Amino acid sequence: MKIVITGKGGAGKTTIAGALARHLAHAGHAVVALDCDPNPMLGITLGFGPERTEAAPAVLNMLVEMGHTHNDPDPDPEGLLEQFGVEGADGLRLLTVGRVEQLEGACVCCGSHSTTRKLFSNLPHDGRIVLADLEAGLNDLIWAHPGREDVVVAVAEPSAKGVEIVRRACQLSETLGVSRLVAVANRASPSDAENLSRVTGVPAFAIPEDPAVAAADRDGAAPYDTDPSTPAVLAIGELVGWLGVPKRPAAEQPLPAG
Amino acid sequence: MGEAPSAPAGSPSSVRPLKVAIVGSGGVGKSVVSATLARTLARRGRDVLAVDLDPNPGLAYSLGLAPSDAGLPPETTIEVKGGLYGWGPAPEVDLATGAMTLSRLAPDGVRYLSPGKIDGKTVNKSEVKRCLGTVRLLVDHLTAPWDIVADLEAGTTTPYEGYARFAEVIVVLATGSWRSCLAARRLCALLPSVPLVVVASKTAPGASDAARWGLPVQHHIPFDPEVAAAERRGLAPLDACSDAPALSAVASLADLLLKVAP
Ligand SMILES: Nc1ncnc2c1ncn2[C@@H]1O[C@H](COP(=O)(O)OP(=O)(O)OP(=O)(O)O)[C@@H](O)[C@H]1O
Ligand SMILES: Nc1ncnc2c1ncn2[C@@H]1O[C@H](COP(=O)(O)OP(=O)(O)O)[C@@H](O)[C@H]1O
Ligand SMILES: [Mg+2]
Ligand SMILES: [Mg+2]
Repeated sequence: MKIVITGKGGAGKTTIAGALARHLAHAGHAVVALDCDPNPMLGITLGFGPERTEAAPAVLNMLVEMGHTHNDPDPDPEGLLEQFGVEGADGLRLLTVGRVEQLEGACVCCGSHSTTRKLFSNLPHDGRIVLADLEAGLNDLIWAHPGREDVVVAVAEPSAKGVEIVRRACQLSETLGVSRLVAVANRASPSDAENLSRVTGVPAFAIPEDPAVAAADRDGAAPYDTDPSTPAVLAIGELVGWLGVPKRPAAEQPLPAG
Repeated sequence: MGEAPSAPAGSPSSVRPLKVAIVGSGGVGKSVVSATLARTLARRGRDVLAVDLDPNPGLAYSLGLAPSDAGLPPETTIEVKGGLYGWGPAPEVDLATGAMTLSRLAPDGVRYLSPGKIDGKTVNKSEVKRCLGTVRLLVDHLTAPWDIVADLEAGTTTPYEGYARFAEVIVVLATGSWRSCLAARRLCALLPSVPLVVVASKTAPGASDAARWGLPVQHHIPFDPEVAAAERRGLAPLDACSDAPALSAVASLADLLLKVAP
């Protein structure tokens, strides 16, 4: 199953992606967390800590260093995951797509950049859960290009701008053929979620404002590690059920003989 | 860079224009600060162009302008080889004044220039690219003594791509969160060498979190429940709560920028 998390800047995408990945990995799922923001931060909310987050290799930077250009075929996503993914709690793997401030003059608008931006669509549908935390706004949603088999989670704070961006994200996802779409009202009440659902026409889930999340963020820590039973983290755990993910992974498929 | 003599205040024609870009990670308050700054400068009698460089809805709400997805009329742009995104202004458009003539009137006499918005109905970004390339060139070439206040898209990508290169001073916003401060540090590392003004936004009373993460914070804009409430309803803070402390803090940011700008 592949899931993308989108929404306005500061809406809570990375916070939710981090805790969601931890819940899923803890339940025994094989999780690939894809940090698609060229200003990568997902490592923090996954619990890697500031140093390991900063040290994680970024695919785009590595490809640029290796001289990969837009004339070269897309590298195999499994190979990239193998080579540049870093392992975290409960076996989850974090793959960082790019770190723009370290590129030093390389072009980000084509070539390797679009290669990395296609990583989400290039990863196969299999028993794993791929969870992509996107850059703020609608542009990256178009790049990620989720399709019929994917799940889109669109996050808004209850502001006029945030709700409007999520309305558009839902519309875009429907245009792309996405069949499972969930809106999330973050730092919000159940009535904010009702409003969001009314505006977007898709089911909406509320995550409460939670000082423990803000406190974790001030320290560069993952809310899931500082307090796994704080209200926002518990709510993100409940969100799992809304995504159509089984509570526990299916039993290991026997390998095909041969 | 040599120090330019400061122009006498209050006589717009002889005032040296302020050319400022506002950057920062998502949700730090870029659009609130951009809109309030633009209207504050306009209320002082200056000519102000507010440039919306974010293809997502945002700045118009904070300005108090009816949001619109419209970019530039088709006849004002042409395809150019090697131009930004392959597009530029049509020959009829005067490079020196096009940024003004193609803008819309916003409250307090601010002019608002937008390359259009991603509308949710089409997954083809060619319309935004057509307008964005042209808007960026027009902003670079504007010669009239107008202030330019540009609101950039969240994060590091568009600053890296040179969207702030017109600017003579850049405001880098961060909140108290570790992550927004890390983003601010990343931004400081990649921005052009013009004066940077680091501003702690949405700060709690008495808190100095941004300073705690090693950022040279020069100004504070407090978290203001009235601003949050206005934005929740989609109203411009200056229209909903003109006496709010956060808005006075933006007014004093204007003074600081006029001092710091070359
Ligand atoms: N001084 C303030 N006090 C209280 N709330 C604020 C303040 N400034 C901004 N906000 C709140 O923060 C939210 C984000 O602000 P804004 O839209 O200006 O951020 P932005 O940086 O432009 O976001 P984006 O990166 O998505 O463009 C707004 O909904 C508003 O409620
Ligand atoms: N439910 C919540 N309660 C309190 N603070 C939150 C909550 N969700 C997010 N935040 C805070 O909001 C800020 C923006 O969240 P972030 O996940 O970085 O957003 P995005 O990835 O959408 O830009 C962070 O400082 C985060 O700690
Ligand atoms: Mg994020
Ligand atoms: Mg904005």
